[in-house]
Amino acid sequence: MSEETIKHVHRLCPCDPCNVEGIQSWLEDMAADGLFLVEDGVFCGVFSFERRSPRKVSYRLDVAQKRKPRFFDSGDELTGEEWELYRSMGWEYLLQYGDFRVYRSTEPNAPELNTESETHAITIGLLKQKHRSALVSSILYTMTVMLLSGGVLRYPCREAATIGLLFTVCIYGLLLLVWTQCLLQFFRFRHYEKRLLHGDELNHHVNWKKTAPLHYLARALPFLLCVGIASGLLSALSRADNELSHEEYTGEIPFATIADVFPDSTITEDHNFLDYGTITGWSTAVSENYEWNESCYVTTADGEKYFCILRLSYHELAAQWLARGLERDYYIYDANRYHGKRFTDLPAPTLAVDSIRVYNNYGTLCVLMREGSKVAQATVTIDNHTNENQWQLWAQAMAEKLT
Amino acid sequence: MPKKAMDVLTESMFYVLMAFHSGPMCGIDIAEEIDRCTGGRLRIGPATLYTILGKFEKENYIEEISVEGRKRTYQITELGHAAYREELARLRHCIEDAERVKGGCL
Repeated sequence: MSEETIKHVHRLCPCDPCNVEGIQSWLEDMAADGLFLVEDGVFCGVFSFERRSPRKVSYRLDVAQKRKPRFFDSGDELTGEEWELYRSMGWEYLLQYGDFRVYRSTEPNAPELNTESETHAITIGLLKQKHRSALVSSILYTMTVMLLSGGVLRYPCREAATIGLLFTVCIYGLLLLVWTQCLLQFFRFRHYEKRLLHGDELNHHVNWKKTAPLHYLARALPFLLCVGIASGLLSALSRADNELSHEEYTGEIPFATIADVFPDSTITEDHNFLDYGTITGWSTAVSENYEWNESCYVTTADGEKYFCILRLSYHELAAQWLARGLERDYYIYDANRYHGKRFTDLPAPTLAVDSIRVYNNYGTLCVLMREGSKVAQATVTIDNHTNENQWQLWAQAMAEKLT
Repeated sequence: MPKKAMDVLTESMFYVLMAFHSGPMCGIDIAEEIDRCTGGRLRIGPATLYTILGKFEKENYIEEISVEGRKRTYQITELGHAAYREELARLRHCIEDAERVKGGCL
């Protein structure tokens, strides 16, 4: 067949990159169907084949000493001498795929690449160690990130409520998937190593079709999870579009504002700050959420003057356990916000709600309140000429509103 | 309990060390030497050979003495000699044991 008429076809590998037996069997079955793997013909798990007359070809995967980088360099190159020896024994180096070099032989009498199972176990054992280290590293890395940084890994209920369940589930799903894959790869190599040490060679004719659907699903999952994360983030970003000024907002307000603290008083909003005087409302699968920002001057009926600031996050969650989780997340988040510096718990008043916490967080008075499946977290300033923050007034009004 | 490689030398490992007794060699020379020594009985696969060379280098049984172009030549070390002699003695004992047992040596 002339060069011009050789047809190239591409196939997604139906086995995971650690399934040595499956990949070898698949490549041999492809050759029996007239599809022959081309040199360097692999990209992101997609293999390129030339279509020729079917014939029996043996394919073998052997452990490469150095893993091939994903995009640059050609990885663990064979030395000239190695080329010569492999060729002299009837084997042709084709490409590197993950941790393995792929060889092909068309000679029926070519010796196996690995002629001794115990020696083969040495290289497989090295891979097992490598994947065990990768598993431990990924778990340690995740735990370090969880401990050192804020965000979804450390405050799942807070992120599920505010950013969305999809985003949170996808983030955790992705982590779980990475760990599971590391674990499965480690166990696969351990299984290979045990078999080789018992004197059993790897099987070159396994039924790769049986596990192919599961493998395709496992390959698609990371992409689906990434799409979930991206769409969750996009929907979180679009919530800024819901921001309205207090004057524009016509819906019912389910929490206490300064107007509820000082009914029958004159309130003058202070718009000197960027987002003060606004309300933002949005929904996620687990929560109805509001953010309220208010800065104002109050003159009561008896002439008392107050300067008030209220920054409130209010959530109505789908279940009480979620509300408890959210309350816990808020508290831990605030306690660690400035690495625990200048964070002090203050005595909370006795109010008719399930839970109330009051704390001073870097000079800001915070009230965290939960009743049933509702959670409110607010920074409150209610000052008059005595210069004493009378936040209890808002806490009382909020407790009444919640119950 | 499966045995671990290097607890005792495998047949291929033994023959690789034996090959070095003819002098410093590269991978191709070793394969040819073993083929010659065993009269073609033992054919070591290339992956097995390079795994053994890597392992022996790590265990200081052999050392690289020259790199000509892309050809690496090794020679056996004193540690490699000792491992070879130890394995040879073990194998001799096996043969002696077999010969002592009535009917053990057919």
